[in-house]
Amino acid sequence: MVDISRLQQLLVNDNGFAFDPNTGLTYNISLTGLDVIHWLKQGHQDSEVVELITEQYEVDRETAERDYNGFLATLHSYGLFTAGDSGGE
Amino acid sequence: MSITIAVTGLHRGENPQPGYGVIRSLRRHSRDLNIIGLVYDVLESGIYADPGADQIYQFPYPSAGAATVLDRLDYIHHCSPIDIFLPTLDSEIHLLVGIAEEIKKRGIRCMLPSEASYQARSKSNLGQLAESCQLNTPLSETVADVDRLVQAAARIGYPLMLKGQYYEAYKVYSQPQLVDRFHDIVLRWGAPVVVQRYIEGPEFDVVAVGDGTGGVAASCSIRKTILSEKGKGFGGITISDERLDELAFTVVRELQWYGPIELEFIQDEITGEYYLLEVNPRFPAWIDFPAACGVNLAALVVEALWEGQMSEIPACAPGKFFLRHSIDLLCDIEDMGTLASVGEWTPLSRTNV
Repeated sequence: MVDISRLQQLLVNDNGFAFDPNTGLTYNISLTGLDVIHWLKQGHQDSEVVELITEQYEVDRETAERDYNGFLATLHSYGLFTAGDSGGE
Repeated sequence: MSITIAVTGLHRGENPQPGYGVIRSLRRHSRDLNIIGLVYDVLESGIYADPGADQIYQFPYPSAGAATVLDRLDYIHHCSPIDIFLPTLDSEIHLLVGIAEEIKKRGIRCMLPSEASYQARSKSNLGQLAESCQLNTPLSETVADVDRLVQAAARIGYPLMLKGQYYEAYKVYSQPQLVDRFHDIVLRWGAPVVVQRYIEGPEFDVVAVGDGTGGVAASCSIRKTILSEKGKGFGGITISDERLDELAFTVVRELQWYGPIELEFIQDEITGEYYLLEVNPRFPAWIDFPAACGVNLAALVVEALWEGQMSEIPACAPGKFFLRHSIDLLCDIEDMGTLASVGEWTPLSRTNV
């Protein structure tokens, strides 16, 4: 599980331009990243997000997991979420 | 009934002053204002900008002393009775704090901090203030001669920031550069000079109006997005960070600050901790930006002085940004000549506004 309260505050437009009202930083997010943020904001768990990536982008589970974890690491580096006790999947 | 408001600090150049932004904010709020620009130099660009002041008067530098300043104020007050005086420059605030009662006796309303509050936020007392508020500030030492300067730099380490008591700040990398910059600052602003540890990270700014009892009537917090070579914020974006606001409000509460205040912070890029860099006893140069967003702090001050009670307004919404934009003003030498020779000038385009 992850704490996505900061991610919930992130203002994102349809083109992937995002603004963090907490820090004033702006980001350009890929369309895949945009989907992932959308799913996380909807409350999907890690395994569900990975499943959605495999379905939406027609990639195998291993690739989806690798890309998802990489994206989470990027979000974490910007302070947009903190990992919970379980540290995700 | 039209209120007459005197404002200082009209220059908008490489090192922009807040006064012209204050005038723009007041114009946004009400058309029924008579605004007097008090200027130290006939080349202060805001004199010639539109919308600007209705009347311009030359004003003596604070270094001329309280008697000279009051004499000139009396003359201006006689010609154009002033209801409210909004000073905007660091270098003049201390003198005005000292003659606040004299100004009040003349029927001119002014929102100034107490002498104790003013001194407690000075650069040389910043460490003590930060300690009282239990917040971080970069290690700093105040020095007045080269020997102590070099010793302080050795203790603090390079790179470091060298700051004048009112203005000017330089990032310094070596001892020869340190001594050169020290002399530059002393020549311009006098001693002492502050030697401060350099912290790498983004800068943040909070402007607020203190109600004099520890409360904050209004505020706006920004992340500086563009810094000029002199470290001035030439671009900024509004943010909503409760942690930053709480730090700023703690300082206002500790100082029991009355009036406009600007608090500058830097966030250590490694630890994420905020460090208090400076507390300025006035509005910042970007004061018209929150007014354009609906948080008009200059108008709030005028209303409080005029109506005798300070209302509260909500903070700026996050996600609005400003970019400083330079343009060239067309001016006529005759206008400048009148101001330079007579000491006062009424812009024709704004007569009877």
